[in-house]
Amino acid sequence: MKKLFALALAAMMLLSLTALSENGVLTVAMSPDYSPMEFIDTSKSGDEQYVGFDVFLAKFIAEEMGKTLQIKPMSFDACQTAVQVGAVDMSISGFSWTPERAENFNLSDYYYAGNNETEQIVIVKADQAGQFATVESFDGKTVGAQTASLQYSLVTTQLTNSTVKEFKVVDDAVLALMTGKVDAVAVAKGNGDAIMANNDAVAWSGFAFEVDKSAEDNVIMMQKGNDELLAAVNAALAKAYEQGLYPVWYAQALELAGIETASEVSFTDEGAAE
Amino acid sequence: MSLVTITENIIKLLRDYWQVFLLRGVSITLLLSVITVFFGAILGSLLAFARMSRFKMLRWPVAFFVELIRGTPILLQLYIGYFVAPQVFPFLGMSDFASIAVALIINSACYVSEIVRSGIQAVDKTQNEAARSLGLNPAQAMVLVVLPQAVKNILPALGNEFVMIIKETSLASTFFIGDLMTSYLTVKGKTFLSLESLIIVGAIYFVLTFSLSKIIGVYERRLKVSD
Repeated sequence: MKKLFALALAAMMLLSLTALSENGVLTVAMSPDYSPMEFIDTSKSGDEQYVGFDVFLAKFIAEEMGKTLQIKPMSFDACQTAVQVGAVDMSISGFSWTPERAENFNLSDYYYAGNNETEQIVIVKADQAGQFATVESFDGKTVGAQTASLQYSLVTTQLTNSTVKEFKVVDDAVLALMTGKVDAVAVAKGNGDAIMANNDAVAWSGFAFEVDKSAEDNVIMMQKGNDELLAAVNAALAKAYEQGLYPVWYAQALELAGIETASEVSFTDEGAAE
Repeated sequence: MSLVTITENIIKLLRDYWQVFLLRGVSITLLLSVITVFFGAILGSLLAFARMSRFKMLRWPVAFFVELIRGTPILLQLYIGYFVAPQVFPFLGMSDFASIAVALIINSACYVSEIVRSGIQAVDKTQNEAARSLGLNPAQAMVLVVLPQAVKNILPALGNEFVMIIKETSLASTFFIGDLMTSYLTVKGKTFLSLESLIIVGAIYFVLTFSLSKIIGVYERRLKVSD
């Protein structure tokens, strides 16, 4: 059994080196259930149905590299596996930079998705809106967060007297909030705004985390060792930044996600300035 | 969160996204299930005969393979099928749907092979002995006497396998294959109404599996008549 597995693994590695996706196509893994970063527009079909900030970014990178984009949708944890085994060229799925990821993957330079990541907030049930403005107000409470996410580490480091409960995806944590399994959920601001705009049962708690500068931005994940690809991606990112495309994409993504409260989201030029 | 809000939200979702649930979701789920059960039954029967073969060289590897598949989670097999199969066989040019379908077929075949094997072995040994003593050769005894009786054991169980597969295809949503569970992921990803989407999808799954079980039940009773 072990031998067979080792054999299969060896074969897999060997083949993954030779069987990288054909020329002319850039395959990108993403988990399209994370509005406004990437989600599915149900009125469209095929590759057109994937929309959101990361999709605009992926399209731009593919264009810069002279390739056609092919999006491979899969769950968030499967995205990392896909990059690791070389089933896709890269994954753009709202990844934050972490030391563990940097060790196992080639990570791109930062890209800046509006204020999706710069602000990290806590949401609660609508009838408790604004009642949790301080760290102390979370004492003894259970706070939900996506597993292995930035929000998870923020809860453990800043809301030290609360109990953190992990969920595979943010939406499951929100479901737990609505069914009373957790008292609050930690989310990225952009994602939280999308949730609150669509779901009247949840509201802002009044609390925002203090966010470390390094954690604010997202990175693109690529297979370890492919430095040529990394350089090409970083060049594309630099170009997108120079042309001031990030704020444009973010505004478009918010609009597609149905977040009319864009003024409340207070999107300013600071994004492009950083 | 009150029942009234949930009901209102469900109605809203059904109004806005009914095509996503009913057209896309149901069709892909049924398509994937039918393909899996059809090819799974064929491959499963072959595996069953291979496992009952006189040749150890054939019997043992097949037995090992069947036990390996039955002894590991189907989600794990989907991951392997999705990531590894297209890289091991790049010349096949398998689409995502095909690689998921192949993984499901292999999984189903291993369960079906056990259904077929137990169905055949459940036929009284004396039937085979009687057939042989009347001068039929082993192949004739199997095809003319044992198999017709075995089919009666096998078919209802195969129907249940179909019901199982309908539910198991939901795991394919890990790769957004477009089935009912993917509809759930899609709609909740856009609307953030998880519970409501889950209830809708759950109701559809239940209607599918329940009506199928009923049909199988009718068929089963018909088979009994000839006993």
